[in-house]
Amino acid sequence: MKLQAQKLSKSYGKLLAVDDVSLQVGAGEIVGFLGPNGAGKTTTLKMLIGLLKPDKGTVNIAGFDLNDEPVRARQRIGYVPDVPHLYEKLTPLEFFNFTADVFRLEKESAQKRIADLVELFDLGEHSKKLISSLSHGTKQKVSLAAAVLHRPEVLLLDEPTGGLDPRATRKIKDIMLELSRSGCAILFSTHILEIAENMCNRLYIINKGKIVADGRVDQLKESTKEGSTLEELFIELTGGSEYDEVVKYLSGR
Amino acid sequence: MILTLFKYRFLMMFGAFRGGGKIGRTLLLIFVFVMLAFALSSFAYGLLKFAELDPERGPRILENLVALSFHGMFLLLLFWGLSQAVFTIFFSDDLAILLSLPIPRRDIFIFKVLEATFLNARVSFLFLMPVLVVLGLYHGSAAGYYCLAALITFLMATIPGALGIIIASLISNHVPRARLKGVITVAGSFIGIGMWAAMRQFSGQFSSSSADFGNEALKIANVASWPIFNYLPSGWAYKSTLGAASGDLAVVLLYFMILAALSVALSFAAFAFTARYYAGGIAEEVAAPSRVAIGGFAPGGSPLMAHVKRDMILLARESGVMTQSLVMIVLFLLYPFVGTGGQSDEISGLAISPIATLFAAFFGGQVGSRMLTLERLAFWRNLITPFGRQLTLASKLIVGMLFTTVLATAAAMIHYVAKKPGDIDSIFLTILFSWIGFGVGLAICAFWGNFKWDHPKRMLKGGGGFIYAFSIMLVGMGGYGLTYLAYRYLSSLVNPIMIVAVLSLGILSISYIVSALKLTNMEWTPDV
Repeated sequence: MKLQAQKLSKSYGKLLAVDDVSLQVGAGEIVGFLGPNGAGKTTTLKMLIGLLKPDKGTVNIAGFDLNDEPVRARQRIGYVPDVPHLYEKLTPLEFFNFTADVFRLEKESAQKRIADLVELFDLGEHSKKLISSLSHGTKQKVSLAAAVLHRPEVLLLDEPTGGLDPRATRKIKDIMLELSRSGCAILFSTHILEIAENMCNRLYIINKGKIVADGRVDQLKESTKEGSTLEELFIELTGGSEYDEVVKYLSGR
Repeated sequence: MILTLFKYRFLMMFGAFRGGGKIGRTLLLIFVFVMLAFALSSFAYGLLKFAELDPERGPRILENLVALSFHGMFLLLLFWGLSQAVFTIFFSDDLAILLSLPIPRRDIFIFKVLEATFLNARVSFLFLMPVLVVLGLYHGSAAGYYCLAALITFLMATIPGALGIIIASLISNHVPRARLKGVITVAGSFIGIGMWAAMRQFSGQFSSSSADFGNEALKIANVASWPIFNYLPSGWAYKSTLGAASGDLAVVLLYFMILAALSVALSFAAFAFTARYYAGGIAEEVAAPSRVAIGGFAPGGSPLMAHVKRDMILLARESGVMTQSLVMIVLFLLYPFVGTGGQSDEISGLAISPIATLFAAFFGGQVGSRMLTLERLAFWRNLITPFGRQLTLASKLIVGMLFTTVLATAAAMIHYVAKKPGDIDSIFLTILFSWIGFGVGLAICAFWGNFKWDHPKRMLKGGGGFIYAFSIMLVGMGGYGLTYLAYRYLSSLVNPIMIVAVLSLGILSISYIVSALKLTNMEWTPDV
């Protein structure tokens, strides 16, 4: 397994945000991480990347324990956060060059990869502008390009399609598929169930800090009543029925 | 609707002091307010007593000081009004949401203009009312005087406020927000330096313990008689107030009418300019911010060099740091002309004065406290890249020390070389004190900085507040004391520069260790 998380738990004061979560993603797998707002998705992803220290549990990246061998583990991860917090006063090109050096890429190889990514993400006209002047979608593309620049073995994405137009969303999906074909293990959180259904080999569904379901999409569907959609399954598992009242109110019934 | 907007404005203002964590801030604010009120009342009471005890010179001194207060406040409000207008009317954070609500635009800009005007007026009330009360007490004025004095104060405050709004409306569409902040900071620094210089000049002569206090005070108070002041709104406000205090109704009417006419005319103009501005939409960044070209950021360097290059670029493009650097040079340029540094130097026998060490430490502290904040919301990347936590600190140290060294050398050369050519000690001492300040600023930012990624507006600020200011004062002045002792008692044993160098390297080492400890254990700050 390229990514292995065992019994992760994290509390913020009295709030148990993540409770005994275990995850596994193999080479070439695309795994979706679903859950309602506040379920613990982002906290889990931040523990997997090392931005948060778990109270309990371990994270192993491509054979290296994140706690014991953080540098080796981090060299093998790419991470795209939900909000593209980038160096606003750098240009995308300067940011890519910085990232290439941080991951010790060789000069020629780095230059070629940067040129390829700039072309792939249509960043040519933006590559020498300050990041602060770019739109949210373009920043997200810069964030994703920087995350895959060093060809990580494990890629973690938190709502990667948030704020993107359909064309950019499609491009990100294509890139994820391409990376998985080359053996990269991908775990991504999303609210868009259609993307999860179409792209993922497997799914984890988290609610109130606990994994409430995991398995292949067809397996999960089979586990509920016949003919259920992923959306219905998700609502059933995460208790979204409270929104029925809101829908009734809005429709004036 | 305007009243509703004011209600919401007050809620926002007091909201800052709600909640458990805000108690300390509220107490500090109350303490500062009480101290300020006490200081102003003491000054006013002293003035009243003096005026009563010296019937020959007392009244003239009192009246001229009241006039000076009006003039000083008016000049201060000219700058303050522009600053308030820019940040209340044109770059206010709540503007976007207000304009999206079903509120008539006319109401929004009237609310905003009134808000800026009241914010301006409150400063003048705070500082002018004590002296106006003294004037009223001295003349035994009726209650009507106090109401009229308050009205006159308000009218005078509206004039620079309206001028600020007009100027801001003209420049806000053409100058990017970040640059405007820089311009205002530089202008504010120059005004601050100017006022400080004036106070130093006055305070050198104006000592109540002096036997010739009355004559000295009269000499200073006579500044109010300069003809130019007759043509300023503050001159009309003063004459009108004095007329009201002494019961001269003709004078009151004449100057009050002039003041009111100008206030109304300018306020209408301010409304018109604001309306035109709001009709055209809110100013975001006027254009993509310009880049400072830094050559040579091609891939192929070491990770440390990558961090160094990144920090150099971010520093060069950080308008705040550049503004502060300019202020530092200006301080060093102006200091010999306005201070008594020469006397301090002669007293201590040192090449460097305590004020200069304080400037250097303050400048270094500002750079140090900004080195981490340069990265703003992207700072978390240091926590997840290989060696990020270690390399980022090393890089900050290298870039920050290089930057402070270059600036401190330039400032020291400007300040000292003309005065004492060939005096190398002063240059070394200035550099070393800027390093000391840098170390303190870096450690305090690392330890007390607001690392709140889920709150973009709070991420990433230096923090430390009082501790920061106190520490800089301590190392600036305490360091000067140690330097003095080293020169006085140890210079026969060892070069005193070496002692200061060891001190600065010690502080830098402690700063590095403290910052490293903080970064090693740093986590994302969750919004829970």
